[in-house]
Amino acid sequence: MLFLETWFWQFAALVIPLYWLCPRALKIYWLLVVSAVFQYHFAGPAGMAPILVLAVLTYVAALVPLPARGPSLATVVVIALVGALTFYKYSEFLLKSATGVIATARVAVPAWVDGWKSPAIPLGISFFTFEFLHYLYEVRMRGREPIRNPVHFSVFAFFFPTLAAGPIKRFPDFVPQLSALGNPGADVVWGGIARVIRGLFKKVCIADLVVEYVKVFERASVMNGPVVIALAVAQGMRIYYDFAGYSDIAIGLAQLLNLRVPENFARPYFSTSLQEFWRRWHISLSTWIRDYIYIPLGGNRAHQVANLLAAMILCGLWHGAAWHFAVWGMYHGAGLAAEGTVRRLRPGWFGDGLGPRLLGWATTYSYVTFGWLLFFYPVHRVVDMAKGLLTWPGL
Amino acid sequence: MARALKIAVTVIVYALMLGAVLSLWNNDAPSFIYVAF
Repeated sequence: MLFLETWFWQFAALVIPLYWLCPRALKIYWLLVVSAVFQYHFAGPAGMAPILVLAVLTYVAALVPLPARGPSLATVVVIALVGALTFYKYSEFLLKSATGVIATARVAVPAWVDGWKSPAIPLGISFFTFEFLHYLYEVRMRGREPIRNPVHFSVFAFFFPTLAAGPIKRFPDFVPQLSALGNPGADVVWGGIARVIRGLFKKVCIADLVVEYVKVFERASVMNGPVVIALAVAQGMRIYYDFAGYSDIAIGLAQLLNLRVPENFARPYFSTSLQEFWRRWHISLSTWIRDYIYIPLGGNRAHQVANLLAAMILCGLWHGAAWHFAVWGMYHGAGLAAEGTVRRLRPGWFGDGLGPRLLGWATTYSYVTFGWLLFFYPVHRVVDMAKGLLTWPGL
Repeated sequence: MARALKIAVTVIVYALMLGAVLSLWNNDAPSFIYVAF
């Protein structure tokens, strides 16, 4: 529940004013202590262990000198980070998928494999793993100066407003702020409070209300065209207001501590192309995927379609261990590739006139909205819904 | 005058939003979608 728990608001009402009262030199330690309390409360000791171990490994791996020969510690830690994420989040999914394939060959599957259950997923593992991977990539591949101060690194790793679900921070933007911590001015405090209220409003008064309509449409006796469209639109509104609400609260809380974290949304449903949509939707994730998967794979330079598909399938799977997330990612990768081709062949279709913009908006909104069905439901159900789209009452 | 009016309207709008949040507050509300990711 996190930001919807009474405990959290009691915690925030205590720790933020005390942060303002803290002497400047002690603010960083206060941030670290309260972030640890937050993590302990929501994740428990078992949930704290993975982030602690991975944070220590990441911190050390960025500082130790590169060996003359053989793999560096950073390489080993990158494998450990990806391995931990895979183990906690995907092990059951991968084993179940593998046993499905093995079973078709009539080979006996070991009992431990058949009965494997993923351990409880540590709070925020998808987010802090991506922050740590970004950190090691920037230090080791791009030669950025590592964070030498362990307290600064710990606050980067554990910062409580963004710990559970982002926005995914970038250390060159975040860490320098820790050297000059101070109290926010009255305008900044008001901006932070207003942002938190807007976030709560989006979640409690819009997203959670839309969920009730989603339930109604899901229970419809016939999945015909109007019901499928209403369901897709409702799911699109639900996920936007849910996650934009969460992001507003996280950004507003950071602002109350006089710290800036990345924005996540910029009116994505007003996009007039799919490319623009991905520049406005979950920005901290889409830029991460662009910088650390798409561009290292080759980006626009070679095999662009394959790179797009690979990056977007991974983006889909990042959301959860299920095939429909991979299909959702592939759907967007294919859409981006097709749009890129049309953009090259018919650049006039993407002009600044009202007509092209309206057409672009309608196409993008429809494509993205249908995609939410793949995001929320298994593929076979979406196939049935797609068939239902062709059925209209009275026709 | 215009500035004072703008501030008053902003405060009222945010107070109404907060009132709506508190009146709809539900301890069994669905969790944030992305926290599960």
